[in-house]
Amino acid sequence: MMIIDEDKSFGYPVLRPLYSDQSPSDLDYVNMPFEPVLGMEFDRSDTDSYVFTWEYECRVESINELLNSGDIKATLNLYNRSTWLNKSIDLTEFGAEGEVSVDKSLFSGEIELRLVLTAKKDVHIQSDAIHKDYKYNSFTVSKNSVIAFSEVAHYDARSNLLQTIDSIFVLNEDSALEDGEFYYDISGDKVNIYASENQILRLRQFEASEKLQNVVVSAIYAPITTQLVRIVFDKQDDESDPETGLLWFRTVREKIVALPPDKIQKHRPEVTAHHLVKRPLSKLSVD
Amino acid sequence: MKLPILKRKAVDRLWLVASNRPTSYEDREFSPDGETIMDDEVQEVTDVNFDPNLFEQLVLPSPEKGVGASDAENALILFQELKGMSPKIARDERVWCALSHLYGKDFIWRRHVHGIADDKLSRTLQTRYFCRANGKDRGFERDNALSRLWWWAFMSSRVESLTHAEALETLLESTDFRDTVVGRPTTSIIPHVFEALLLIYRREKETDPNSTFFSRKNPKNDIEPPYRYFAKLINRHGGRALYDTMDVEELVDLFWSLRKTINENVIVP
Repeated sequence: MMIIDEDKSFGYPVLRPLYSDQSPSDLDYVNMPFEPVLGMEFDRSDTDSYVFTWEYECRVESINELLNSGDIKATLNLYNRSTWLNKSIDLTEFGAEGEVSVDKSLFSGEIELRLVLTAKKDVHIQSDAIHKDYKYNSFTVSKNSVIAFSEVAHYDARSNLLQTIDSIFVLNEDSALEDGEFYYDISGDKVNIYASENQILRLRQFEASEKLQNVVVSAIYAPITTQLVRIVFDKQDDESDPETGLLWFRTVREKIVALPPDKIQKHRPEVTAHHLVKRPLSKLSVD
Repeated sequence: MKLPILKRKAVDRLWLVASNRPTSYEDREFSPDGETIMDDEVQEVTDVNFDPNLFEQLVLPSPEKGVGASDAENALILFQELKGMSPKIARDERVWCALSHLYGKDFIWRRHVHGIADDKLSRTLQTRYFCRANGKDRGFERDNALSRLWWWAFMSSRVESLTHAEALETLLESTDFRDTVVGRPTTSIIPHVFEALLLIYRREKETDPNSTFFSRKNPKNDIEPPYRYFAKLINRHGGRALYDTMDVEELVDLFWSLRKTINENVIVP
């Protein structure tokens, strides 16, 4: 990842994210945290790629002017240690909001994203929001200096599971099972599905493909979800039952409540389940 | 031929053999219907093709061609022959274990194992035939005899100012330099920094062909080799300027100026 020591002073004011243990009044630019929204998701138009998205706003007027004039540039950095990837995407041509698609085969394991603003030449910045400790309200920094940096966003590029989508379903290997066999366990917070290594690999491949997701939904998730929905309908009014406190129970209950009324059919839980699992990874994600 | 991939239980079984019965590697009988690999435990990665004869093209170090030069040649062959191999696939131990035991086994034995003392045999097998002996990253990038060649070639493939072969030869000429770049990836994972470091190494050698600056055995300094101090300086400076957004020429200028601040004759702090 980019070498940025988030705790240190750069010797000049830098736009930074606001961390939970900080007060906005302690920031270099008082009450002006730099908090771009960074994201990663499957590319719906190309299932061999991930889409990386960003949206940022800079509230320091003189920095905005330098961004507009091209003297400061925004860069999105993608870092994946496992695959020796450190890709910096110049966002100048995209602007403050946009997305880029990157080949999925370049990633494995944890991906880190960070957005930075840097000086393309020596620049002069002025702001009345600069913290009084600096004892000035304008300064000059040299080319390549960091002007702003975001917090690092972490994602996971395992075959089918992105960290932003924290599903209630967890696939586990059971080498005693034959291909086609599976069972599940709902005694814990998540629904643990057990299958052979082969089958898990195939399920992950299918889940990664938009076209093949329906196969997994019909074969695995729909029957399990039907059972979950049935249990939720049975027990949702009985808070004393310990099962109602489990994460999967709460998640399914919330997702059911969010459905249109005509999709909630207590006498036909399979119908309700069907509407929940249309897009299983997002529909049954944990918020 | 499609790239083979072993099931995890086959990899685990081989690991146990290498750990507990290392001498059984001497005959290297790893056919898919054998004792250690069952017939249904070898599958295929459909996206990658290769010619199994590629391993016969690999060369061993010799008086004419040293370790670095032969590694560079082998890395290029392997990288070019494994058509369709992506970084994601290359980060799967099951792939390299399959190649190491089914096709590259004799090359690995001759290159890394032959002549090893009995008490080191097991450890050497674990290191060279698998990707897990010393941690994951090191396992792929420095240990497994085949994966490391591919990863070195992959890293070097992004260098624009040198041919792929030149970049590989530069990276691998000195083991100490290679370990500095590959083993400490904080900055060298940035493509432009990687390229700039190769160019600095070449400039150093052009300036003084006998330079020992990048050698661990620097005779003038027995406290800390100067290249390590150089690496620290680069890391330290990276906190001020963002290397990710700098171009190769700027980085070469910067690194060379840092290099010039280090006098080989002075014991560095």
